[in-house]
Order: sequence, then C-alpha cells, then structure tokens
Amino acid sequence: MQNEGFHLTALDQGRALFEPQHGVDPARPETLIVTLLDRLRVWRTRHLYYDLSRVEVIDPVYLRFLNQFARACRTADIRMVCIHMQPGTAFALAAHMDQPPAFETAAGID
Amino acid sequence: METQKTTEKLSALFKLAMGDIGAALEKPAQTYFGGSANLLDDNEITDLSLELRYLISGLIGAADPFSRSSPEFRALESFFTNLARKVLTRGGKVDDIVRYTQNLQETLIRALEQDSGIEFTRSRSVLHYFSNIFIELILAVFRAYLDQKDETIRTQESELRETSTPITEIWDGVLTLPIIGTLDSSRTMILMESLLNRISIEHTKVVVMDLTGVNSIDSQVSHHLIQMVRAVQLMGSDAILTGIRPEIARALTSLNIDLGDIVTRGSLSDGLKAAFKMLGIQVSPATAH
Repeated sequence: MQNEGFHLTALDQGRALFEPQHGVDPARPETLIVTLLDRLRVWRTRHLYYDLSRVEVIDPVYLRFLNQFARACRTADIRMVCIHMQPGTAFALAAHMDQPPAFETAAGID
Repeated sequence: METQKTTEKLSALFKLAMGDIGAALEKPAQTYFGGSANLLDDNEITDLSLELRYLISGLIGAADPFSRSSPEFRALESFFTNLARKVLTRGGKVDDIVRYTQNLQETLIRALEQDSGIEFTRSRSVLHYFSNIFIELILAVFRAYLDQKDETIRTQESELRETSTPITEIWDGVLTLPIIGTLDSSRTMILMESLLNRISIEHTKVVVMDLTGVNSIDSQVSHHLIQMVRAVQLMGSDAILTGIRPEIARALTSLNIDLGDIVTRGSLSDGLKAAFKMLGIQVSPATAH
C-alpha cells in the first residue's frame, strides 16, 4: 500500500512494515490511524514494525501520535514495534519522556 | 610634541640600512633556542631573524608606529605567538622565550645605536617606545603559553572522561558500562552519545550499567540515570542496572523514583547472568576430559 505520506508493506507471518515519509502529519492522526488499521485488519497483521530510520526528531506531538497509534494497534490485537531509532533521536526523546512509551522498541525486524 | 619627536627619530632609524642588524638579531635566538637547547636549527634561526628584521622595520616605518591595532604591530605580535607555540611544542620553557624576548630588545637597541650613531640611553622616548612594544610581545608569549596549557588540560580532561567510562563489549551483543563518580549533565551527555552510537553500530541487545562506583545520588543524577536507561530502551536494547548500593536504593525511593519497569541486579556478575539469560545463552563450566 502506497500513499503520499507513507509506505505500508505486508511481510510474512502476519507482520507488516510501516515506513513514514515526510507527508505524515502527527498533529492529525485520526484519519491515518483508521486507514492503516483498516489495511492491517485485511492483512491479518499481528506485528507492525514502525520504521523510524528517516524520523530525525520526535517532539512531544510526534510522541503523542506514536503512543496513540500504539494503543490503537493494541486494541486491534496488533503489537507495534518501533525500529531503527537513530542515536540522536533517542537521546533527545529520552530527555522529554516522563513515562515509558506505549510502543515497543527493537533494533530492527527480527 | 614628544610623540612627534619620537616618530621623527623612528623614521630616521627606518631610513637606516636595516640589513646590517640582521646578524645581530640571530645571536639571542642562537643563545636560547640553538646549540645544546636544540629547539630550532640554524636554518630556522636565520629565517626567524630575517622575518623579525622585516617585521620590526615594517612597524617602525608604519604610518602610526605607536598603534597597537595596526597591521604591522599585529603581524609582529602574531610572529611572537607562533614562535612561542613552536618552541613550547618542542619542549622549550616559557622562561627561555621571555629571556629571549628581553635579550632581543637589548640587542636591537644596541644594534640600532651602532648603526645610527645615536645614543639611545639619552633618548628616553625611544627607549620607552621599544620598552612598551616588547612588553606587549612578552604578553603575547604568555598568552600563547596559557593557551597551550589550556589545550593540554582540555585534552587531559577528555582522556580522563574516556578512561573513566569505558564502554566494553563483553560478549556479542552485550555492552557493559561501569559508572564511577558523579553523573552531571555534561558527563551524561557525553556518555549517552558514545553509548547510543555504540549500540547503533554494534547492534547491541543488552546494556549492563554498573553503579558500584557511584557513591551518592541526587534528583538530578537519578533523572540522568533514568534518561540513559530510556534512551537505551528506545534504541531497542534492554538495560540492566547493577551494583545499586543500599544508600543509593534508599535515596532513589526517597526521591519517589520507581525503577519497577527497569531490570536491576545486585552485582555486575548477576547482571551479566541476566543479560545472557535474555539472549538465551547458558554459561557452564567446561567438562573435564
């Protein structure tokens, strides 16, 4: 599935990969989350890998979006795992995080 | 009026053949930097004296020889700064550079007296002029000396920081980080930067942070600690805190800091066992044949 703002690819064994591009607007997550969950439901996805390799800054707005998306995934029985977070991004994000995030993290796709 | 007279005298000096004083300027350099001191070789001393003669004649012949901001004075000052750096880098002492500068002043005045036939000991204005110039040049030497000392201290601090926080890959995918002393903001930043880069490069699975060497903890330090653990987790690695002393544990609870979602172990050894368990690795004694 390709959109101006992201790529969503079905992998094997109920897994999918989400690659956001610059078009993703974290300030307006509702439509995006519904669109994605709809597609993931059709694919019977159990694990969603959210690729952060191109996300250089995760500010409070983007973090809120990630948490909201992860909770929505959990409701749909999907585990959202953020991968490929860059050192600088993790460094900055850890400074303004006051509680653990709602999403899981991993170095890459297992 | 006095300044004008001095300028005229200086202009008269400038008209002299400065080439004759070149050989005289080499002597102080030979005394302090050449021969057994072995800080500059003969060619360097000759070049240095030629450049010095050119710079001094430039200053004396400048539109305003008294100005400390003229290009001619700046060039002479820069020459002394570079000379001091070179000599200090080669193991010379600041004392020798200062003595060289003083000796150079005396030599220069003597050489100009001989060349011009004017007895400067009777001309206080000219002596005063050269004295002021050379005080500035000695200050330039001291500034170069202090800059070099500052640079040495910075390098040593950097080396100390690196050696006080050695990040070691103790097993494939397992990094250990013994933290010793106090975690302040700048140290945390340096530590986090190098740790997160290592995690990214080496695809680290588990980081064991050992706090055995941490004697005290306050709210700021504990905040930095939690921040480090969070950043490691965000990179997709597991973090294990080990060696938390009873005083530190008590301090953390009194600061209302909950380590409930962070894996902790009593000692570094237990932390490593936990890391191996997370990776599905079992370490057992070798069987005797």
